[in-house]
Amino acid sequence: MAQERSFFASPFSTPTLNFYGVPGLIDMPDATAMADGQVAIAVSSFSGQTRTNFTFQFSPRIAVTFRYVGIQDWNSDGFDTYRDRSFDLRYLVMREGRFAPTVSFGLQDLAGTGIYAAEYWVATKTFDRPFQLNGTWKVTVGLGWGRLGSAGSIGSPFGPDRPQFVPGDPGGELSADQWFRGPVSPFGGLDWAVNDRLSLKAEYSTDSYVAETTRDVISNRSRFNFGVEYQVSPAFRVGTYWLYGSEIGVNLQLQFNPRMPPVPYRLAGPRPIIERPERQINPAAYEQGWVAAKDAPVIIRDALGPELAEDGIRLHSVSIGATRAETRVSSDRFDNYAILTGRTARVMARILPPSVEIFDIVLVTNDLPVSKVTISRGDLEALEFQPDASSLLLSRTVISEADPNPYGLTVQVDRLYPNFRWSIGPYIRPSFFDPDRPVRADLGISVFAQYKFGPGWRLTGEVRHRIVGNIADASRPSDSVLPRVRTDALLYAQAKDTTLEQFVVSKKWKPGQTTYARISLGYLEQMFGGVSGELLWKPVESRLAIGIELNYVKQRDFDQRFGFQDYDVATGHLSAYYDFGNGYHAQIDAGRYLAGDTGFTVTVERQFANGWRVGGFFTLTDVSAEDFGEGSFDKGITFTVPVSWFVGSPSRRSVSATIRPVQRDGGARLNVSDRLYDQIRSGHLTDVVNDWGRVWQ
Amino acid sequence: MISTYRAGLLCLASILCGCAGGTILPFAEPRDQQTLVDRVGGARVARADVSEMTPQRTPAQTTPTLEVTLERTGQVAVVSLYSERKDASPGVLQVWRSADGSQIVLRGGVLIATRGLGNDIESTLSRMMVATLSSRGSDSGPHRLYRVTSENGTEAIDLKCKSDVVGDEAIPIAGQQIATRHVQVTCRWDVLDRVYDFWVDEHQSTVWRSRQWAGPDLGYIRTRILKE
Repeated sequence: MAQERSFFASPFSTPTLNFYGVPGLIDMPDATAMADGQVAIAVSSFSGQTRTNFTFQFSPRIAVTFRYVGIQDWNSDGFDTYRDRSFDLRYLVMREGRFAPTVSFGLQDLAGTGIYAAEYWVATKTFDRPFQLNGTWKVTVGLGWGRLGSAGSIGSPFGPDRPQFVPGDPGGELSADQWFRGPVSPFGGLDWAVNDRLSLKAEYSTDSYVAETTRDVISNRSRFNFGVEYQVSPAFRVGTYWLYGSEIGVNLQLQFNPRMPPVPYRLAGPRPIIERPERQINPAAYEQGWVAAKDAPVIIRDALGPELAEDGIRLHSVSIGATRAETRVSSDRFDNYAILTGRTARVMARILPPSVEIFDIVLVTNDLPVSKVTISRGDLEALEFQPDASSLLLSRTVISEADPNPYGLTVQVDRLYPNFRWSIGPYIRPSFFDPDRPVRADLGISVFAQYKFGPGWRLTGEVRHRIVGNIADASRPSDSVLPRVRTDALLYAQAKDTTLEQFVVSKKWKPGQTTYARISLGYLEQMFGGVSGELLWKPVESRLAIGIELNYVKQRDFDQRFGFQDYDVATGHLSAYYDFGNGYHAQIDAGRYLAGDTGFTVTVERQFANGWRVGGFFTLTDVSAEDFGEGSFDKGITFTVPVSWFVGSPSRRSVSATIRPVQRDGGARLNVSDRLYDQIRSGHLTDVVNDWGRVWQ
Repeated sequence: MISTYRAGLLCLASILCGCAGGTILPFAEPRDQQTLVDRVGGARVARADVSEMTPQRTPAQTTPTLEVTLERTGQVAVVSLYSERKDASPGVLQVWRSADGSQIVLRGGVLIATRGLGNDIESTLSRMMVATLSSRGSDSGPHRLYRVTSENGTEAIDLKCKSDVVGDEAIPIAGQQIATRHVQVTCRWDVLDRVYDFWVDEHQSTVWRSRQWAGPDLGYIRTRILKE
């Protein structure tokens, strides 16, 4: 059943967060799960400990959390302020029923002997106005191991062996052998939502804060914590707490859902479809002799082009027959191929002679024809205002492979090439998790230019000039024992303010109906230049794609001008991509990385139809954890936020970020732009169908 | 936290502040006239402005015009008839368009689609309501809105409806009193009733005025013919 929509989560439908940024009481978790796709950012602080938590509800049952913590006054183990990163995983085992509670389990700081390592099973039951009391009461009980079993233990049912937290341990490795080992303690608490905005919380904590109390970071005088929280807005919640009998804490919580944009997507309505005269009434209109006219294709092309251009659609070519016509189109404006298809079909219906019954619309992205959408003109006319028109049209539409080249009586659009475009704007290059300053950034001006000198050919350049920033102020040079393919970032930042970010000539083409190819040559990214080639196999209806990428690259000089250093490497990967449906995607890349190490990368991603993407990855190679250094292996999380999501109008732009707990040299891939898979897949069956609800817009 | 916040703002600025050129394909989207839905943060059109304008200006209008009000936001605009045709289903189809390209689509006076408002109605199963207005009598049956979701799909909103004739009413339109029959359709969705009101010409099928529910996001939309 449809609900009233809101960008931010309803304060009543989403759980409140604990100090670890997961649904919970105060410092203890509860069993509730956030709405599917929900994003939660929480910052909690007490006794000099600040935890910045990012939680994503990856699926209705699975939630993942990334956390960065800073503990002041640590004053031991070589740290004044101790900083650490950690990942959590939670699983919703059972939803609440009339009598049954919600049940979940969680793995906190699941990699390595982390400072927050803990596991728990927890149950929560909700009661509305119990015993005539006002508001909603949530009662939570649970069992905790590790950190959550460090006080009030009732035994060690699965064995007593559990490694202790070691400050400065490189960590990073899954520590399954310690999960649910060691002492277990029962915890619990109450969450009383007094009214729509105010709630009171009380809990019994089984975290004794051993590491913190032994270093005088905190005085743990009580196991009982108390708090009051206030819902400032549907998205924002604040709380203040009395913790462990000695400390005052605060918790700031922000929640939103990528499926609910802050601004509705708006697009000026299309021109109505003009119906053809009925064949019985006006058979002459359906004469096919027009196709024999010498200049018919040119006339049609010249009529279609301007009308499409008014909608921001670029016409590449027109192929005509007496009863069938093909247009090849792309758009700098629409990130939604269903809209592109619908608007192109409307223009074709307005322009083409009545005898043309079948429209083939070939969707083109970056000069690559990615799919062909075949629509009957009669269906367009009949269904435009029928109930459930998009579903009806989809059921009569065929999405198939696009031929590499147009067929039949074809005219190309003049002046498509050469094509020059440029942009000037600010850029920001962030750097995270330097222990001395966790967030650093450089800000400057970027000048970007692109020259397309033929179909698929492109020359791209970007020059950056840093205006302000503090990445170069860092004082931790690389200590890597591997070739320093990424850890010399500080030297790159310190070399020059004005740099050549990239200067690449590339060619993309479609060698066969289901294959796509790219070759790039030049200064490919900030740290490497050379040659990169890629071949992708991706049938339009297939959920599986296979790609191979081979690169020979040389490390660029730190000044990022035209010179190179001595290090060179042949690197490449065999990649498999799979679309599981419902927005879940996985990718495995196996091959040789920049430092010469061999191994594989696993990426899992949730993609929303509106363009939001949240994912995570890890890479395992033949580099040992010791040689890799802090973190033991490469891993991270990725985000993509489409600009259209927060401006509410069509745009192909998006903002992407990759956040790694630590950037080392092992498992590092070349950052070549314009990899094929994403741009091809977006025009293929699953993605086009996912967007189809807007085909009449 | 402050650093992260600043970094976020700088990110946003870097997206919004750049400029570009070259052979980027422009697209036409008129923005300098009165719009059906004001831009985010823009000034709302006062309802009084349109009401005052109507009697004086309507005689000068050469094309059919319709006043549209979005009750939820109080926004008002005058829209022009963009196209009119019939298809296989009962009721004349009319596409009304504002200066900014927003559209509402009526079938026999029943709102069946919106374009460009945001949270749009893609289409509507409107057979029962169209028949009710055509007969100006009592009827019952389903009415189903297909709403475009923020994830580019559509979602059906099923209503169970029952219509009644409230009575004959004369309503002022552009300085004239128009004899109409007030037909009210009450539809249940979720746990609440949504009430549709139509003022249908006593002699033709013209719906001179209406108040119609366009889904949980758009809420109620009022229409009033200014120039037939």
